[in-house]
Amino acid sequence: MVKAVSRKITSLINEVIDADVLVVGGGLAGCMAAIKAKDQGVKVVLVDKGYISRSGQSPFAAGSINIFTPEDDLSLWLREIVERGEYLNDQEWVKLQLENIYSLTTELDAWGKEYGLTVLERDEKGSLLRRKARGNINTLTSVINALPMMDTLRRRLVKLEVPLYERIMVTDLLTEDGRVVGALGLNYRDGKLYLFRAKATILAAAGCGFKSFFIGHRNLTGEGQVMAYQLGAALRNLDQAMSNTTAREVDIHGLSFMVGFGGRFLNGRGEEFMWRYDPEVGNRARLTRLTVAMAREVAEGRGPIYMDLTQVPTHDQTLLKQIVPEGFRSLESVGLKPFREKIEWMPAFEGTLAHGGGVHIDLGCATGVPGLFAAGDNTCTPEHGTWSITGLNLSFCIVSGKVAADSAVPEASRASLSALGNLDVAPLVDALLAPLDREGGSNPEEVIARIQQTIIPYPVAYLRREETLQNALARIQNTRQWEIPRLRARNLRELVKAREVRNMALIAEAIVQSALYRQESRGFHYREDYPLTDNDQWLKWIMVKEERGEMKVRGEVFPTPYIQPPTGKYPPR
Amino acid sequence: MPILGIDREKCINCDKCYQICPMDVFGKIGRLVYVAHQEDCMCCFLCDIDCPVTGAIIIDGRRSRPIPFPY
Repeated sequence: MVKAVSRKITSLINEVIDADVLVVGGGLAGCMAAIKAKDQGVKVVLVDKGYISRSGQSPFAAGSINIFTPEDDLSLWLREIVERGEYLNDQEWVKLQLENIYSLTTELDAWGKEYGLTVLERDEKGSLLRRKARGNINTLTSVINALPMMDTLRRRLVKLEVPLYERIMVTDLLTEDGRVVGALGLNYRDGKLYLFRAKATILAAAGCGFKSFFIGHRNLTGEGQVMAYQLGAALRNLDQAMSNTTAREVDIHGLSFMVGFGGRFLNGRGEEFMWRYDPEVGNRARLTRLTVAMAREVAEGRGPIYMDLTQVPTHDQTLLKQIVPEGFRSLESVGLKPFREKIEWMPAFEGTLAHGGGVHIDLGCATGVPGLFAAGDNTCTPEHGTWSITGLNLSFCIVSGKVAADSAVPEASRASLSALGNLDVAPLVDALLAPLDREGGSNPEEVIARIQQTIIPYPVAYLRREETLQNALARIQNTRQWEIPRLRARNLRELVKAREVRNMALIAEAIVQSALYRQESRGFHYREDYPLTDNDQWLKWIMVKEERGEMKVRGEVFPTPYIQPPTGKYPPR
Repeated sequence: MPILGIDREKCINCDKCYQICPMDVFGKIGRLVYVAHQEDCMCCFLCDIDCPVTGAIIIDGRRSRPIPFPY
């Protein structure tokens, strides 16, 4: 019987790959997880949807990294991160991150040097180059070069002989008795199906950016978050679905240092309006404050919004171009001169990417699903709270990659590979390939556009009300009920998009459900009908879980061991 | 438009763009790399940055598909 099933699998699957630890996603977190697991002597396999070192958000990390050094004051940094995260941070994670980031980045920087690559920028004395960038008051932001960072990681992986499986979209996790025992993947270039058997699995496949604005994330559609959710993991803090900001005409990044080096936001009247919304740091306001302020200026008739970089000193212009080369090439390619003229600017919705919520994890990166761990932006980014200060994300990717490896390796040593015959992949393969067999049905691109039209406009993304959220929810549920099951694909490329849009629709509903649940304003979540932050009622993480096939939302009170939040209600800070 | 094409006079067929493009925009016939899916280009400029020849990739930053503005 087992033999018969095995034969059936080999007729469906082109390649069977075995690993002690399987890492899904080859950005900063996934690469760190793979390297740190491999260092412990286990068999590691890394799989990615693109080309490792040029896939995911990490290649576009715009220079900002939060590195707490041995000379800094731990309690001061912890307090600033928690206060600026509006108290939704997992404080133990903040502490863990601060305590581990310096040694890990020093190690990463040293690997870069072996290959002649400059990962961290240093001053003439060799100390870390640090600036006050977005959100910083007492803390400082270090400067990291993203592409050399990713080149370093790829070369390290190759040196350690970690097998890299690329151009493979992992579509499903495989379970046996409730435990994750591997994954199914599709190579979208040649159509081969891969069965990865693993003793422990780490998801590091980022969040869902809805193929929206901002640079470099249009292949990130929430696969890792949806796969974990479908196995019973909770999605946390999706009410904090995030936005960055970008030029209206082209996608750019690197805003933290733009404002750190003297960039200003102007409204249609030429006013430097951010000082009205954040008297303490003005243009360096956190993204939460900035995106809501931009939407309010426009809603109140003072649009459009501009970014003015004309006052950035010449030497910082050069550094900006070095740390965000893509964005400046993009601006210049359409004839914009960023250091000579103001440029029209707008919020760029990025969903559950970066600090926009994701899979709930504990201090060991465990998801609660046996055998499954998560790292990087695939998770709820527990250190951030709402959106704290710039550069925390890269630090979290590095530390969580290490922590996930440290948890997954002992887990793998306790487990054994699942017998091939026990894995029933046929229903998963059938569901994955079904859009290829549909003659009519919905075109994935049309459905993507409909989801974007529902979730990006400012009454849903920035200035929320019960009514606008309910309307959005009805539209998304309609899409999920009627269009997603009828998606059609004419080729492998459309098959990938069909799966991507299915995941986008699920995450879209989870975001809107979470936003409806939180009846206060905090961070990215601004409710016109509940405009105050309410620490008496809403010091809670919003958790979305699948229970008996239904999406359930609840609020969870969480511990605050180091920094006690103030009581009462107050305008969002 | 985003990626407009490859300058055949300059391209040395090194494959780098085909290898790295996050959106898999390039196709290949034999050794010849070409722009197969312009509509999916996300204007990330990684192909341009990694290309060993200046100006072989012809690209600008305008979005390939309209995305609804927030306001």
